[in-house]
Amino acid sequence: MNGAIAVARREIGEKAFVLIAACVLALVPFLVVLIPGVRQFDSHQVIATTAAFLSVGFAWGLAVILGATVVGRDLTERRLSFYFARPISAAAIWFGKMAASLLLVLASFTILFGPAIAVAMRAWRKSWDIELRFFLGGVIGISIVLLLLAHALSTMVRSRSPFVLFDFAMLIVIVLGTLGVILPLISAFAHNLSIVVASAVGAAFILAMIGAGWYQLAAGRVERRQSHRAMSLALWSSMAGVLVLAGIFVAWVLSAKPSDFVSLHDVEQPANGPWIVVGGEAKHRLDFRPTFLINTDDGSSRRIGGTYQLGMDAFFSGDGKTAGWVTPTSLRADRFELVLQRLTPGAKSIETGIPVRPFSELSITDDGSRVATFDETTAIWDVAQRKLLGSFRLPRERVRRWLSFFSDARHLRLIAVLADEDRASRDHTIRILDYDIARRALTVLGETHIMARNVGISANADGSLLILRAYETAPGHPFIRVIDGHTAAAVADIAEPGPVPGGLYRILSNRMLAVAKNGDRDSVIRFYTLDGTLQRELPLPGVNRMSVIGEVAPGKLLVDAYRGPDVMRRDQMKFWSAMVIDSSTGSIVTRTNGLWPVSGDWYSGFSRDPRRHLVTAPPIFIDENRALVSWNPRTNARKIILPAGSARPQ
Amino acid sequence: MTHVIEVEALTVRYGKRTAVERASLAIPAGSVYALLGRNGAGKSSLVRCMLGQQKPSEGHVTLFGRDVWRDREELMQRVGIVSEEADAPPDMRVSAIAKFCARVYRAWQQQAFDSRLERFGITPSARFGNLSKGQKKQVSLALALAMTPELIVLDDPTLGLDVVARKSLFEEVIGELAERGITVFLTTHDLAGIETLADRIAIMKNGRVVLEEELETLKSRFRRIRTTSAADAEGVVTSRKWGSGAEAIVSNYDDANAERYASAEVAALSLEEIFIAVDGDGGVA
Repeated sequence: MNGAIAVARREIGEKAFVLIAACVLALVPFLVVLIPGVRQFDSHQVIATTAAFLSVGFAWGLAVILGATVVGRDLTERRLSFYFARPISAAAIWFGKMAASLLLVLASFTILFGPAIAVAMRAWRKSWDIELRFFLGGVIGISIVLLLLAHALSTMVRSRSPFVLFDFAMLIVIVLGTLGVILPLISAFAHNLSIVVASAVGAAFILAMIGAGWYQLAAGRVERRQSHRAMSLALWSSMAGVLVLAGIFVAWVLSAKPSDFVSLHDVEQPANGPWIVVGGEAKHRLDFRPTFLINTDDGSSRRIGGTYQLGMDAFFSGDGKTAGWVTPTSLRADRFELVLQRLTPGAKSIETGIPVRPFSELSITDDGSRVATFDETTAIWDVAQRKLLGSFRLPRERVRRWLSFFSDARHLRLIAVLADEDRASRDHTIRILDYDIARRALTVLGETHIMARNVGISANADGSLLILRAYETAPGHPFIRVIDGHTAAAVADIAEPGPVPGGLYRILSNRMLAVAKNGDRDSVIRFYTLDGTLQRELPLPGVNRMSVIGEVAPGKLLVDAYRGPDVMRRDQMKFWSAMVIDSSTGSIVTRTNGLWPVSGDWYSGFSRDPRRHLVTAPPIFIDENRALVSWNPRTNARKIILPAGSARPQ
Repeated sequence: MTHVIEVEALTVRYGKRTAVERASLAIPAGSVYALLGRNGAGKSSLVRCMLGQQKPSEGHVTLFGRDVWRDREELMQRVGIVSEEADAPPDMRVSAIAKFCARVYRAWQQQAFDSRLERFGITPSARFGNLSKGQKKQVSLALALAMTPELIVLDDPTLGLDVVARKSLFEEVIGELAERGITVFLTTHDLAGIETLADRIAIMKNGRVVLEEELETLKSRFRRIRTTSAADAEGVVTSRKWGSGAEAIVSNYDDANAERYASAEVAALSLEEIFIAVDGDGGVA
């Protein structure tokens, strides 16, 4: 310590003239305001701004000069032996010199910036959109980096050794290695984690430069090339070690398994087949949110691209045999392509090359062979041939939103909800269009009107019938209307006594319409024939809220019921139960308690498909132990998909 | 006999070039030891390794029985050094250099430094860079002596010194140090100056130590022989024609073979002459 202080004092004594220069320059901000052309500006702002630029420029310039000379010049001029001939350790020489250089930089900065900011503090706050402490922290941090970088570069250049080629090669390796470590995190949208890892690598680089400087003097001492070699070996081997550790860490992060989940943000389940998609937060992995395709039959899983952060959930085709998601195609993760996975044994994922924009939507044929993407234009692609089959621009005038599905492999059905710009307008037009892929022709099939502030739409399994749910309808108008899915002709108006919440209506087997109504304390499910005649109703006393999960067998409706405080408690599974109701008798066939549904009407991924298929797959729930389970309504059997504690709903 | 410095099979390489090759030296305590050699012989590399300033490619050096590379910091409390080139910061005043040294040496004697500086006629307030080459050497010497060394290493100390200062260095300083029992290791080209002071010398040639022994012994075995034919001489280091006969320098002269040269003209050699004979082209020890 004594040696380091002695070295630092000596260095400061030798270079004290820079402080005198700083003192002289400190007058400049105060003199600038006297320049005639500058007088028109606020003098305090001029002082603060001039002092900021001058002090930062001086400090950083000085850091570079001192970094390049503090050891390097002594080495080349053979004056480092002055220290090594004395009882001073290499550490004392290095840290003494660096401390002195940093002190000189900071003292110069303070001399230049301090008086000006003391006079013009208010102007600083007004005109600079950065807090003073961050500004100071940035200046100090960058000064340290510049000092160390200049030292390292100076050592490399001054040695005039071919070893500099090794440095260059290692620099490329380290940069590529760092990218290699961070890019998988960026691709996985773990931006916070990638910033943490990048910052850790950056901090390690600074520490490695400090350590390498010490080792340079400890192992290289006065000999220029040995000194360079020692510094390079220490620097690059430390960085290689850091990158290996970072790589191991990132590999560990990316190796998250479904059993590592601590909470879930997304569960997607097709109506058919054993596969589900589960995404969520994994143990100790910050914002890395892995998403997995999980086979509920055998428990196997594979990680897929997670696009939750972009509002683009994974999805399934109508037959449940194809899963899809998007993956970034650029380093900055701002361009994406669609990836499809046939859910058959041994099938590999297909990078379709189909471009998808963030927050956009798409439709897929039931067999997964064709895809429609909706952007400025609607484009239809053949997956196998990676070929654009057709594209068109949808009319935008008065369009509130679009729904779509492939009615077969050659036709894309589009349902437009049109209304005037005035949000209060209750006159909504529902227009049905068809795009013939072979003819590349867009045709209007029909349209209907409904009076409502807003309109919800769902369809039966084949899309032949659409249910329009009116929200805030006009007096005398129906709350629910069933129309033909091809011509838009009215099939039936349902005279429900009051509004119907979203998602609580369903056509069962093309014969019956189920409408669930939530009450304050009691709820009811009514069953209508498709001509609008009320057939029967099932009161559900004590049920505050319900959600329709789907038709699990012809005429049998699976709903989830909540009996609890008005403020819905998703953390208390005791308030939740699932039940199967037979529409032909209006009775509860099967019932199980303590399950909260994570699949059902509320999930639809980023598909625009309004169709609701017959659910043959056992639906997925979260049970009272926070396990993800499937429940088979036919057998009343539960099966654990993810272990207890992993499925905290977000 | 205890050795203050022991150099064992020291090799220094710079890339493919070998500056020092398997050099071994042993410097007895209290001796004045001179390392001689022409420019580029490898002396400075050897000295830097000897002071723990440079890591040898092979071999190792001990000072006072301790590894100098490992224990340099502690050992430097006992070693005064005057380097070949003045290495003190040029902008630093002489007094500031002394102040710096006072902080790092445990046995610093400010008074000794001041009085020596006064004797040299150097102003303490002078900047080191403004001093003449000789004055810089004198300051370096004053610094090296003021820390009360047990060993002093002088790397070409007379370089830049005028005749008077040179004489003073050899007769007063080194002589005084030798009397006080301080081990002196020096490299020099001033062979005349060292001839009366050195106890032991080593000569380096092309990175190798080609000769290393007591100066008295060395001088006693080297003779110039002028005879009718160089073939008459044994242990010839160099030879040349001398009139109708030949002149040879032999390295194995002693009382036993003095009779052999009874008819020849035999003369003792100065250290300089021995050095030239040994270090000149074709010379062997």
